[in-house]
Amino acid sequence: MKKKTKTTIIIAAAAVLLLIIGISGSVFTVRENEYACIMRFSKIESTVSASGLHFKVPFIDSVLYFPKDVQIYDIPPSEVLTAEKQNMTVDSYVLWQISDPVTFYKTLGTTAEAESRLDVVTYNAFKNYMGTLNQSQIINMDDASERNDIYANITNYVASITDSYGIKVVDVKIKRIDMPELNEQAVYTRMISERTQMSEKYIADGEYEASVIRNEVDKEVKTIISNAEAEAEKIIAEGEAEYMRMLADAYNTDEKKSFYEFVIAIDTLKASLTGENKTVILGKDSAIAKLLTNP
Amino acid sequence: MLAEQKTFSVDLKNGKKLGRIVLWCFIALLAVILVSTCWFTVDEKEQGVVTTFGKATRVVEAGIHFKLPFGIENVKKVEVNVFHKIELGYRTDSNGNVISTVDDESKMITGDYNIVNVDFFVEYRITDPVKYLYNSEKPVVILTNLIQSQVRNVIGSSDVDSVLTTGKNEIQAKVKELVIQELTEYDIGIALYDVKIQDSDPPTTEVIEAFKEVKTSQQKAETLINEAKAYQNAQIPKAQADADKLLRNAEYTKTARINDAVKQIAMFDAMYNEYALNPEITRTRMYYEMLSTVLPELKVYIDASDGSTEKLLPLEDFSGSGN
Repeated sequence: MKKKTKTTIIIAAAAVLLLIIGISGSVFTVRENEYACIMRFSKIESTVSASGLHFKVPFIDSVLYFPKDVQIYDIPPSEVLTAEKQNMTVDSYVLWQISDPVTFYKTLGTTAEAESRLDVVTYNAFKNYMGTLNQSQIINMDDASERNDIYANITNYVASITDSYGIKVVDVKIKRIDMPELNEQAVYTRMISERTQMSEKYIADGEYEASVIRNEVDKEVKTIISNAEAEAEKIIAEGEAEYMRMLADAYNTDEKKSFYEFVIAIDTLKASLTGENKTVILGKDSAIAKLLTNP
Repeated sequence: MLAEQKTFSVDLKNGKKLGRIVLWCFIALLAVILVSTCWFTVDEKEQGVVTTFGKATRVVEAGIHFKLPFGIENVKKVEVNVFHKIELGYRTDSNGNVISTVDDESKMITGDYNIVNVDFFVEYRITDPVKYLYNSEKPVVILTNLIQSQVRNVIGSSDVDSVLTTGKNEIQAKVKELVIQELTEYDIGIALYDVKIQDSDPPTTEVIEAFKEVKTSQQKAETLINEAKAYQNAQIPKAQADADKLLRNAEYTKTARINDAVKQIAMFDAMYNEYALNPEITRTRMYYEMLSTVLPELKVYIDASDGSTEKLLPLEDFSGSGN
């Protein structure tokens, strides 16, 4: 009886254990960011892309997981040649995700392998595309969004090739384009010379503008004075005219006129005879001489 | 033998007791683990994404929450309310001091073929924690790369002067616009909040010097113009003052001349009135009055020649004693 009980317990325990193993072997979880492939005897039986709890045949089926989320692959910088054989360094990245895990497993198998394939395809895409362009077609003032259109074309090209690997290429973008070191030095030198030229132009323009202002001022000053002089002369002339008119008005009769002439004559004589060392020679018939000689 | 058996039974009894204690301890421990793995807290900064057997089943806000234990339900906390930052071209320590620069990130070519160093400061927020966790492997790295790409796009379409001075706002706005556009396509649960140009400089010290020189020259030119304007401000009023003086003088001259006439006429009228009473006498008197003022200063000779001989009679003594 005792022995029987013991055996029952052991059997029950074994059954529970087996059940646990059986259950744990027949369920598996799939996370949000992964695919699960159920493999039976090295053959992929089915693919699960929905997350959550799933079932499989215990002991026989195994599960292989692949990332479902978008991966970023930062492609190492590489040199490409432009149409005029200028070296340019292109640094780009690729966003990709596995779209078909079965094909991915068959053709590539691992993420590392996928990246090396993407590297080659993307490099070729850039090399071919840049090879058709001159540097001035790459570096220019065109609208920034046009470059995204170019990247979209490259993305489409890369996607069309990697499609057969079970990969979906979400985006390819250049994040950096650099010139070779030697070119950079030339650019620096040119930048300096451009700035020096600008400096000189600023000074020259300033000097010119200042001199225009000064010349204008000088002209204006001279004009003001000249106008004033003319105006002043006019005023003085008016005075003179008035003076003459008044005097002419004053001597309006013959008597006045002759008296005025007499006064002027006397004044003139007086003026011409006053002063040092004046000598007068009188004719002997003149009134004064007669007066002096025959009183 | 009996004693031995007794000891054994006692041991057995003790053993049973010990076993029971261990069992209870084990059950208690299990209960503690069960309870402790049944609840979790979410900070105010965060949201919690709960997964059931790997499937995202709910998103919970700040506070205490319950979940099924034993890894049936798991929680991942995401800082959705925080403004996260990305520094491009430089790195700062926790105090915000710049500790290093990253040339590969900051050096870029402008559309007019110049090279500039531009640092960007980026702020983003996590808008969808489920997408943030599961749509991409490294969402922040993706965002960083995308921004680098779009920054070079925009700088590559700008001229050097707008990058360094006037065009910063436009560049920021354009970068933001393009990044948001692309980010919508990526759908990785992140939203760009802001992109700012932290710093933009010419590449080398020599080039920086040349750029500074331009500024200096600009100021010099302005000084020259200002000096000319000062000259203008000083000279024009002075000229106007001079002109005014000329005019006032002329007006004075005019008035003085007219007054001359008035005076002369007054004098003449006075004299004439006298003269008119007896013209002949007045004439003679005026004549001799004139002579009397003039003669004392004069040397007078009388020409006594009769046509053939020159004979000048000096009047020196006479005039001398006549004083």
